[in-house]
Amino acid sequence: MTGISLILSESVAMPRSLNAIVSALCTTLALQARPPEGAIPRCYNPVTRFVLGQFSNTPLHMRAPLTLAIYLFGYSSVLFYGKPFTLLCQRRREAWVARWKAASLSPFRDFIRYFEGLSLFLLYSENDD
Amino acid sequence: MTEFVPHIVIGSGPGGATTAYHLSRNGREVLVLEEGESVSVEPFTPEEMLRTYRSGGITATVGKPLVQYVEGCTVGGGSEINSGLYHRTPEEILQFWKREFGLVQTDWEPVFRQIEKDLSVSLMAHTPPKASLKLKEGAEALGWSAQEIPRWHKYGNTGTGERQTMSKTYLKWALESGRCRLESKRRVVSIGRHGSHWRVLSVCGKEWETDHLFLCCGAIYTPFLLQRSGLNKGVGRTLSLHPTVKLTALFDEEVNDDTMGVCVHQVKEFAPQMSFGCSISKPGHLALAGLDQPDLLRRVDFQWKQMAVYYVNVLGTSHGRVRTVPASPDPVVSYRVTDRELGELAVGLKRLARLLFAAGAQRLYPSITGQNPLKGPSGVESLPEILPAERSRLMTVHLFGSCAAGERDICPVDSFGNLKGYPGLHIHDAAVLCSAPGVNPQGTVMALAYRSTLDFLERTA
Repeated sequence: MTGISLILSESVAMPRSLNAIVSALCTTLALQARPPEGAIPRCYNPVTRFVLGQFSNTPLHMRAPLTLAIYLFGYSSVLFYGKPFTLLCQRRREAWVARWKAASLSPFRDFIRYFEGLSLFLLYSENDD
Repeated sequence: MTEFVPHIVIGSGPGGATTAYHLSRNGREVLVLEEGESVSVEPFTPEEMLRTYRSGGITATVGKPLVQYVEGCTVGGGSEINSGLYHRTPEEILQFWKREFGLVQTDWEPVFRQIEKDLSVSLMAHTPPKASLKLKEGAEALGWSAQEIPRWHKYGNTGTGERQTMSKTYLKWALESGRCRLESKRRVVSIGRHGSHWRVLSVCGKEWETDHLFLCCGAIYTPFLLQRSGLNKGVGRTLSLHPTVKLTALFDEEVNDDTMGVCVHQVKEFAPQMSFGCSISKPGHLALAGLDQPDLLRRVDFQWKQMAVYYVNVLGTSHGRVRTVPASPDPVVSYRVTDRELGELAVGLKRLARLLFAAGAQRLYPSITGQNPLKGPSGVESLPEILPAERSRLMTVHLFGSCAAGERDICPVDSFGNLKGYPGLHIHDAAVLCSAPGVNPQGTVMALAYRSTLDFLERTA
């Protein structure tokens, strides 16, 4: 993972609040795909780093609406659970992700798919080594 | 300060490297400008995606369904990230281009033969991966034609060898000639006429002037650069691609391992309309396929060695567009997948499914959200007649045709890569292919670039 860490140190700086939402989302997706046996394993951090790196690489015309969608995803949970996504427990985070994944509007589903695809690709690629 | 160089090539992929090599070996002074950098990373890994793919590989067309695509952005361009499978342009495609686009034909035999010699195009020196052989096995069982596709790959005594990418062949030889220079990490933002020269401006503010400018930035960035520079006469409106859909197979025996690498068989029974092949199938790629198939994802951890990802690609018949967006450094690419293409993909998917069951597959997982896995040949009929646009996951690694070459008025570029109406401006990349060739396009791109460069050398001798 040194290569990916290195690239991320060169990547675009992003607001802390945005990083926190993406990080919480990636960890939720990774935990769902591969539940840990004990405490959260460290290997989930590279997943977040990889996804953030890819996000900063995304073309501007895709990144701008994606940024809005991240904030919408992160804060609209307040309406349902009284807390932003980052402060929810894992069970409620999973429920919130499931709600977006099953949304009738395709941009909501595509939003989760974008992060799920990147998270799982890295998570399972790590197993290669 | 503006530097003058007689010949500038923008892009170091198959088109650019071929052009630079033939210019320099004929005594011309050349500067190659490349947006990416030269990196050495393990192929088909997340790190490779981040470092050598444009936008980290996160690129997709606008439209329904969207088509994910990837482009190389590194020294050597797409040749550094593709699987290295080589095809000559099919004869019927060349005849179609002559008939419909007025593309001047030539004796292609010596052109292809030279490329094949230069790049050591050859069959695998060792037994192909089992996942690849499954295609052959299934095709034989059904009486269909399958073949091992040669690669530009130099095999050593051990049988592994080295892929003959542009950075190891044409580009390297051009640089070794002493008449060619490479500047990497130079993204060109605009080009324009300045007196009798072409002026090139890079993102870092550095400027060059040249008599002859060769655009080799690929099917998307070549028209994008022309549009940004106000030279958008008919470019970027005819983008073609090979729409591709994937199908993951689970076998009852191991077909995959850490060293599997590139599968070399393709089923050509229905070519050039459609082809079947096998993709890179590392656990990360299998997990991606599992996004649509929870049962597949659950199995990746403990059964990935029994799995491989296969694909169907069809001749794209629709046209996409490359457009600029105000204030964005990247283009918007649109492509409307037609019902005809979705229908052909569905037919291809059924045929591929039958083939894989004939090869011993136990379960098949199509890249269609909500589609149940197929558990036997009888399940093939449950596949839709036309792929549902909403739920189908399409991708492509082959993009071309955004500045089609030919003598007809619809072609912005003539048969030898000269942009009509702009003397001294040439296009030598996948953008000039008239339409989808139905095969991996790198051989065609290099052949056209080679022929156009020879024509240029002759005219400017």
